[in-house]
Amino acid sequence: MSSSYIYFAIILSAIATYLPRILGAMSSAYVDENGKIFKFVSCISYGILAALISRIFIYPVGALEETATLSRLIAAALTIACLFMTRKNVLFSSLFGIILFGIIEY
Amino acid sequence: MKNTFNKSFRQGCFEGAGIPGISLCASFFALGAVFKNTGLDAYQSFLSTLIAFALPGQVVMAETLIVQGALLNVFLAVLLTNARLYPMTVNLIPVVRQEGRPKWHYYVLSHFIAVTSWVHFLANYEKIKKEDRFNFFLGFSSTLWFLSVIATVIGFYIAGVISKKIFIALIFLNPIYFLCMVVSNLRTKHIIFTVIFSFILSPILFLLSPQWSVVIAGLVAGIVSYLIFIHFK
Repeated sequence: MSSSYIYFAIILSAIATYLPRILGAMSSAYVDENGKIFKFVSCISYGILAALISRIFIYPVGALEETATLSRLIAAALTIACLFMTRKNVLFSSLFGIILFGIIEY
Repeated sequence: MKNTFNKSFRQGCFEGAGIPGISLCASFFALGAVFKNTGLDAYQSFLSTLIAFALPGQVVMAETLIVQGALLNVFLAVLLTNARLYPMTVNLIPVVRQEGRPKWHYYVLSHFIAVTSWVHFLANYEKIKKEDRFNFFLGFSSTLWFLSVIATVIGFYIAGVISKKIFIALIFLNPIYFLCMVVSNLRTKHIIFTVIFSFILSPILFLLSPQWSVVIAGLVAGIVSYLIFIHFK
């Protein structure tokens, strides 16, 4: 793999990343914060985000692939329980989640 | 423009350097290690996060490079992975929009829109005055971007030095943080339904089409939820 090939790949990735952002910024001119389209786009955005999180927990790529699915799901479930018990303290719950995951996995 | 870098901007910077920044840095730290294993050098790793700031897309680029994929494949794979940024940007810009602000400001701002900044800001924006939101979000998201660039380079150089167990725990921090942010932001029926439905649908669709599962699951869950709870209400 030549160095120039990698630089081209990075530049194309940058274009492919910025394209949905700038198109989104242009389209947003027609969206009102209190309108139905805004709610529709919220639904789609949260839907895609939840799908992404679900995929990371159940079918991750990279180093997390080497960990057990059950460990990840137990850690996720107990983290959610912790989140509600701590009145939605995200910092505490996130730290609880990774420590718990470390204990379960190792 | 001269009023952009004001107190709200600084508050955003400060907030970005907290738990959202720590969580994101952990993932970009890991990305730096992935890039090193892929064969990128430190400058290329730095450049990637600087100009193509969106972690899943960067991982896909590295994976495509490993299998010697064509440049067109890199472009399409990253575009598909980052398609989620379109609805997120459409969703976020109206919240930060200010009367009289030139359009190009929003085009610059859009470079910093990613999952962490989006989910954190939408969970908290109602506490921020409408006229301060643009500046706050710019400070918040650009701080995340800046920290991510640094974390990528540090990750590149420190790859292999820290234990693999700690490395994996660090990678797990970001999805756990996303999960906490999304769950803590479940306030309305349509969002609760969307998130639960999509969470179940995504792994099922993954078995049929790994590449499209996230986008299709999100679209189906979002459209069904919108029709049930808003359109036909």
